[in-house]
Amino acid sequence: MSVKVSRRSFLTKAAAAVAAPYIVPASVLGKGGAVAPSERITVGGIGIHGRGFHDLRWITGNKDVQFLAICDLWKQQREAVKEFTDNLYGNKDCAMYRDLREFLVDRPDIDAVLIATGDHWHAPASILAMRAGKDVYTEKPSCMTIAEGRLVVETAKRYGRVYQTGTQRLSEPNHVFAIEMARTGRLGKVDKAYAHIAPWDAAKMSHDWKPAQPEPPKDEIDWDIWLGPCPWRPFNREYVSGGWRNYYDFHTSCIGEWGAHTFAQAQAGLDAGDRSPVHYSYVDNDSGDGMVCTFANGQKLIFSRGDVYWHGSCGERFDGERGWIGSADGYSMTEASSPDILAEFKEVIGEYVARTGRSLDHMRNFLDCVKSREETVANPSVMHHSMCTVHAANICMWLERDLEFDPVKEEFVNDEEANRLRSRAQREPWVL
Amino acid sequence: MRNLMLTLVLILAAVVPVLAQATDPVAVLESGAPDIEKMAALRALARQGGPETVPTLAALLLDEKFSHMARYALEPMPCTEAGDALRDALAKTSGKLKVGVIHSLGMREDMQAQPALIALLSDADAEVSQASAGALGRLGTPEAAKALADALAKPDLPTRTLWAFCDGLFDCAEAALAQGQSETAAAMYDQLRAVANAPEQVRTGAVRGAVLARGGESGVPLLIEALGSEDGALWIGALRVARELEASEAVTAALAAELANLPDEKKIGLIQVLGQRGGETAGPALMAQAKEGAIEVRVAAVNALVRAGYAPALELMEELAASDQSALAEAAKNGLSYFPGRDADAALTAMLANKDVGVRKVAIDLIRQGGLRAPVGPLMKAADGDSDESVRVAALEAVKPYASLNEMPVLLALLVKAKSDAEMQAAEKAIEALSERQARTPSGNIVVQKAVYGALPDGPSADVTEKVIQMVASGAMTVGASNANFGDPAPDIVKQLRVDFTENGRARSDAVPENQTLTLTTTSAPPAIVDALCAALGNASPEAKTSLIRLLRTAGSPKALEAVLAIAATGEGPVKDTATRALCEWPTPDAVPALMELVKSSGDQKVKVLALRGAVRLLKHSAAESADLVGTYSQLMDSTATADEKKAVLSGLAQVPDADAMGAVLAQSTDEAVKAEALQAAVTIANALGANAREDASLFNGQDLTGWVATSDRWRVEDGALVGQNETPLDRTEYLWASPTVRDFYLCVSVKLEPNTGNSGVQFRSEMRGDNNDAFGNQADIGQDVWGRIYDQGGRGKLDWNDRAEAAVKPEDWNRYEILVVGPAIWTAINGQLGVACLDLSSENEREGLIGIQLHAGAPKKFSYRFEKLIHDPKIELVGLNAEQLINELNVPTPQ
Repeated sequence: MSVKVSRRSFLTKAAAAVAAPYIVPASVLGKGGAVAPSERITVGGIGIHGRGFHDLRWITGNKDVQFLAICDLWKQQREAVKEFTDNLYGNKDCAMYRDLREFLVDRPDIDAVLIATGDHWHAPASILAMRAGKDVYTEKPSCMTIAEGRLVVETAKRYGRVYQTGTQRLSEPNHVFAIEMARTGRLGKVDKAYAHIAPWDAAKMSHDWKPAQPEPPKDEIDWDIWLGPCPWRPFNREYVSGGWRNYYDFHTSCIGEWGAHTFAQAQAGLDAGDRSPVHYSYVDNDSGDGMVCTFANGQKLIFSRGDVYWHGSCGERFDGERGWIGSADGYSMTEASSPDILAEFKEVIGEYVARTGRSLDHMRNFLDCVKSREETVANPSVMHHSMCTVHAANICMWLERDLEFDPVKEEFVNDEEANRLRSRAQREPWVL
Repeated sequence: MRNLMLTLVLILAAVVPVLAQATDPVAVLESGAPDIEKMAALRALARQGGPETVPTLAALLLDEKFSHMARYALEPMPCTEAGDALRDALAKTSGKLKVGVIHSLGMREDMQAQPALIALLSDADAEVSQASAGALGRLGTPEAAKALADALAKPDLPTRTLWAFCDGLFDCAEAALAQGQSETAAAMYDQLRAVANAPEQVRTGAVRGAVLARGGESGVPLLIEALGSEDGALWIGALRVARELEASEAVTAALAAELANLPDEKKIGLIQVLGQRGGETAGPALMAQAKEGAIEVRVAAVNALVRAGYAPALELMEELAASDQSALAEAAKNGLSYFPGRDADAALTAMLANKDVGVRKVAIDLIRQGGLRAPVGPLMKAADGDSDESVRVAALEAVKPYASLNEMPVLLALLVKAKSDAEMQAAEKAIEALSERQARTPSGNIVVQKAVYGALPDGPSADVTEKVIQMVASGAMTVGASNANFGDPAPDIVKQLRVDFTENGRARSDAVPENQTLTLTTTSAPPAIVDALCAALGNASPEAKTSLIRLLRTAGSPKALEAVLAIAATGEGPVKDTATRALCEWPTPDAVPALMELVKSSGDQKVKVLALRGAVRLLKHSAAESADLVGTYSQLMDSTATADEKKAVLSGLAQVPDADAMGAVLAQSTDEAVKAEALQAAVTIANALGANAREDASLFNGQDLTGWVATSDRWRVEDGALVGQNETPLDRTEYLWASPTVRDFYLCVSVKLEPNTGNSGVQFRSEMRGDNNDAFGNQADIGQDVWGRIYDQGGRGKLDWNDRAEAAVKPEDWNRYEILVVGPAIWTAINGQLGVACLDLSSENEREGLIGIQLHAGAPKKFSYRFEKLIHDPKIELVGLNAEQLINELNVPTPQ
């Protein structure tokens, strides 16, 4: 008979036990347990506020990481990050830069960068960093247009760079389990995946300007850098401190806010990490709630906001012949239509880790790949193809009509206006 | 053609209300409209503008402020006019604006711009030349590539210019490769490899591209060279391209062959690559690395073999799993547990027959952790037949979470014939676990909601929910309340463990004091188990018997109880002790009579204590009537003198929502050693009372004296009030009696006494005696200097003479008089002021009786009563005070 237990503690423990041995032990890299300085991954930060501090603590929590420099156009944040890392290391060594072009030229000693700028800088900073030979961990959503995403893919390949986008749920056991159940056929044929979109804001965003304020000195806030490739607008301090959401130039709408995560999760389960849907059906509402995106093989990716399919945030869910499985933030474990599906957790996670060699810690996966030069779990292709879904869905909502997409040419079929929205001319001198 | 659609788009795209009246984007751009409106117009043109809008945009390309947004509109326009405008602007712009125009031409892949862009490569403005390189890269033509290669040949390029030129050439190489011109591409990558002072990323990218363009097999020599290079950038490029190259066995073979030539620190990287590539040649090469060498390299090789799914490696892993190198053993164990596919099942099973004891034990451990889908058969075989005792014990321990009723006979046989204590104990534990699992009803299980351990309820405590969930998850149905399990959140204090849980969906909560065991289930094992255990008792050794007795206790059916009672009565030595102890820990309430007997008559103080605690534990689960429970608890209370045991009994009584239970706990409040616990228990009970409160309207009808018994004509009804009056001095006190019997009640009555020096009172729980219907029992007194006090008429006199309510009296006016009586507790209140809070512990025989009104002998007086409310079994609350406050007000007598 099967042993009925409260699964939570059991499964979490099992996952940890499975995952641990595959993390490259420090002793492999250094001698006698401590990491030799030459084996350390040297890291710099670009634009670290808010969520970025979480990432900073995460990456510096790995003892084979040495954080050396911060580049931020905002003095207050440069200094905050320096204070944090200087305290961490008990020294005064963290260098500060304002302009990332200088930073990237000046620091050939830095292996990897952590990027947690506002959304509109994620791709430009990633591309510039990879062109300078840096490996990149960047926050999501990781590109503003289809063209930017494509350029990230090409640049990473060109220079053999390791790149990870911050869709950390792709590494969390609860989600990995759901994804792998769907992807490997254990759930039977899966014809539908649901992806959570943010339950606030709308798909159409504002072109408005906040009231103009006097521009501070460059050393305090470099407004030109903050704007980067985006259209000029007058300075207002609120943008810099995070008030850029819901503006067309800086945000990817309620669809991108969570879709950057959840489309990647859903597409991973559909084994469509390297594909995008070919058809996008317009829905007559503000948000894209209920939009059905269809892949060439007929599989459907359906957007849902609110708590129809989940009781947590950023969820994905798969409908297969055998039942459904899904996860979201706040779940103590994956949920499914029947306990026998959940009973496969340990085996599925164990095989996943054995087969991929991946850590179930998203940052660790990045760092391991920096050493092994393997593709990360959220590599450029995964980022680009899920963000492509975000961008195509947004364009569908803006144009208020169904769209056909040719995923090979990466262009919309017979829709010039939609095609014009695949890229945005970059503002000089921030051209890539 | 400035069509209507365009105008509509503009209106939709714009957010500035003024624009509602706008005509079309070009008109806006040519007007003096505010910047933001012009920006909106340019955004609209980016989406839908046609060639007719280009002239306006062309002019704006030269405008510092709007040049970018003009490009924003022009760059995505499919018409050739847009390209013409941008090319025209090349000559007319400089600096940043020129950089932007160049970039837009590149994005448009404007072939006509190529000559101009080539010329601009050598522009004095570094940013212009860098942008041109980027644009030429996007054109990706051989001419562009040549220009870039030539430009790269110049010495002393500034860093960013060097990067940009290389980037452009990479772009051209990729374009050539995409068009199938791999030789051309390879040549370009070779040019990049040859760039002097090339930065690391260029060296990495160039070697990657050079190998990739040549294709797997012809690229291999270059790849191998890069792997062996001292240049880290080449090593990185080689590793990457080795992962990207097609799944050619020849490529893998070449890489595998190189493995032996690399130093250890590089081996790991290539081993990981081979693990990802897999294949026939990777396997043996990785096996060789796994077999000997530096531990880190071997670990990497084992992990890679698992990843490659190379089944022949399983045999090696069987061996390595018992390695004394822990990292290696760990990697091998993980491999065996999670090897892709089902090949590892056979390997694990085969390990059980290995000649090495260590290997066999590793296999058992892996199977215990879930390495096999069907673990029971192999484990039972090892438990029964392995030649090594430690293996047999390990197998018994491993089978514990899996064994079913089918395994019972073999497990019992193993227990009875066990060759060592360890083996017997392991068999016992396995049977215990299986029996506990069987005890659970099929649909149900225990779901722990919350568990707290500490000085409950208010002292320091720890949330131990996770720990208890773990214990339950591992099969435990009982949880020991001990520091060993939970640490010590409150040193030097006797702690409690409280667990809130559901059993088969039914919410339950239970608490036990430190060092006792909390049982999470009340159900019993199926008869088959008990029968098998009883049968095994017959010819078992004394050691095996003690095991079997403990198992019977876990099983806990009437038949099991009978068997254990018999052994407790007739057995001897350790077997008898075990049986007695098992009774004390019996899981079901049918053991209570036996435990009561032990409490009363056992000669062993320790047994008495254990039996008392066991009885309390079981009574807490008992479904017996409250009255019976109070009786049983009281017997237990009478049988003990120690504070700890009294506290245990108090904790049981506290769970009985009954006024007599409150009486029983309050009776202990005179014992200083348990006073706090007694009052706390009383509060708990008091809070639970009142659920069955009933109002009684039969006392007084407001019209006449129906239902009342009078002995004179000095009683009447007047204006809805009951009036008693003597107009002349009265020689003898007399009473008017009501018909309802009261026990625990609340009475509210308005009273007016004229003059205030007169005397009356409300008898309650009283007896009517003799020819004159005299009163015996409690009286809530009325009259100057006696208002609100309690007097025992005809016996014990003043019970509580607290004068706290006197000041609240309104003389010769109506006064609201409340009386609340529950168990031994009596509270009075006048006009909202608490009077007495009397704890009358000596009244056990006066807890029920009649209500009567007194007309005291003496001077003329008149009093009037309006009966407001009589409630039986009331909730404990009075004048805004809750149960806890009222209990704390009680005047606890000091012991005589």
